[in-house]
Amino acid sequence: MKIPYTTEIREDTGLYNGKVGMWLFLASEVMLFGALFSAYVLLRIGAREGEWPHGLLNIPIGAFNTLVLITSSMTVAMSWTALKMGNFSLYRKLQVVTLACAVLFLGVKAWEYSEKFHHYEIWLNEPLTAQEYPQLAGHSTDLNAPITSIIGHIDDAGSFATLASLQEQGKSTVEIHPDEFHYRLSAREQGQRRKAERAAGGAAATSHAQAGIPIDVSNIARLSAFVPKHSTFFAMYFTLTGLHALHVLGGVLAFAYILWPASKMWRQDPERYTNSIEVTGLFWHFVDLVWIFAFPVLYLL
Amino acid sequence: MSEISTSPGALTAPASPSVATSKSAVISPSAATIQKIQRERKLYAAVYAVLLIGTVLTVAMYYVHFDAVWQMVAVALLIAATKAAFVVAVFMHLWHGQRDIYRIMFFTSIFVAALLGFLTYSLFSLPGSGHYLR
Repeated sequence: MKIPYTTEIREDTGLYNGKVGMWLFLASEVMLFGALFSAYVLLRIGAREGEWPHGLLNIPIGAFNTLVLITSSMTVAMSWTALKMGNFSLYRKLQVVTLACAVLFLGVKAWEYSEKFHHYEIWLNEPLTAQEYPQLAGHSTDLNAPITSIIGHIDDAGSFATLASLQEQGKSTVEIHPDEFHYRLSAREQGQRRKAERAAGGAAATSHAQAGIPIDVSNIARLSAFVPKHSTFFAMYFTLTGLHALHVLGGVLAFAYILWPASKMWRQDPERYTNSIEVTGLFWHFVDLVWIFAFPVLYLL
Repeated sequence: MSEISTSPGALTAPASPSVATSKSAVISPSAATIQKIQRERKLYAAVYAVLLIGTVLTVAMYYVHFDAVWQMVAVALLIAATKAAFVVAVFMHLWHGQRDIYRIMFFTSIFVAALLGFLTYSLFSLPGSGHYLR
């Protein structure tokens, strides 16, 4: 059976059907991500002073992933022109680059997630001060100010530990290595600190994990890894980036299918094959667009 | 009408096992198409450059001191919107006047604007909200 309007233009829409279908789908996608982004905006602007966590994401890594994704968008657009020119081998090379970029993006994202899962925040019943523990200097500029929560690594905690799981293991104290360098200071402050350390002769610049501070489990009010339940911020971060990563995965599957198993269509109906790349490309550029907004909104603002 | 001309031999060409690997000759573009596609390629390269510069600016923005947070938010969203406009117009081919897609996206944008607009409006009636932007 012949499917109509796979290549020929429909008079009433002025387009082939696949393109109309994809744009309708993208319209629904705009609504899906629009809802999540506006929820983020409401929560971010509605948060009371000092309640929104700052600087918990790795900006250089996020920027790198942005570059990877826009590169893949460019190669998809170019690969479509290659098919238009009848140059299948150029198309194939460009699409292999696209797929490599997409897989790299997902790999970096997975690494970023796993980094988050073994960083912890401990909220204390009895606050500490930087006067008592100099390694907390980055948590507060005032030495005598009470520090009610500490961010860092916990010895032997692994990922996803909770206060309940520590109590179940019968632990009475945990040792936390404050790592405010990555998570409490803004990127600007990190840059200033690095500069100061280099000026000071800078052996410290390579190591930011501090000497451990023993904390009584009875002094812990709450303990959470950087997982969705840590805060509204992380809940939004994992929802948005997780949904986006699923879209990237979907794009990988579609492009790989068109590139390999479905490539015989190029011989049978090259115009239709070219259109399938244009339409899948539309989806891919949309996924790129979502990241163009998600990166500054989640990582920088 | 499509500009691509498919050679009449395409459908009867014998299938070979190396279909995907051989450089196919089934699409033979006209001189006009070649010229058009070459222009298109230059445009894509230019957009790619804009996107790279936009990303660098976005990160650089973080190291610039703004007097108020709303200024930083405005600049960040302006850069992102510019990048998005280039992607939509050029990579997604909306530049080439596709009337019915404009119609679909126009209605979608009304709903998104309503979603964002009502949420932002509601912020003014929340106690203590909005300090972030000041």
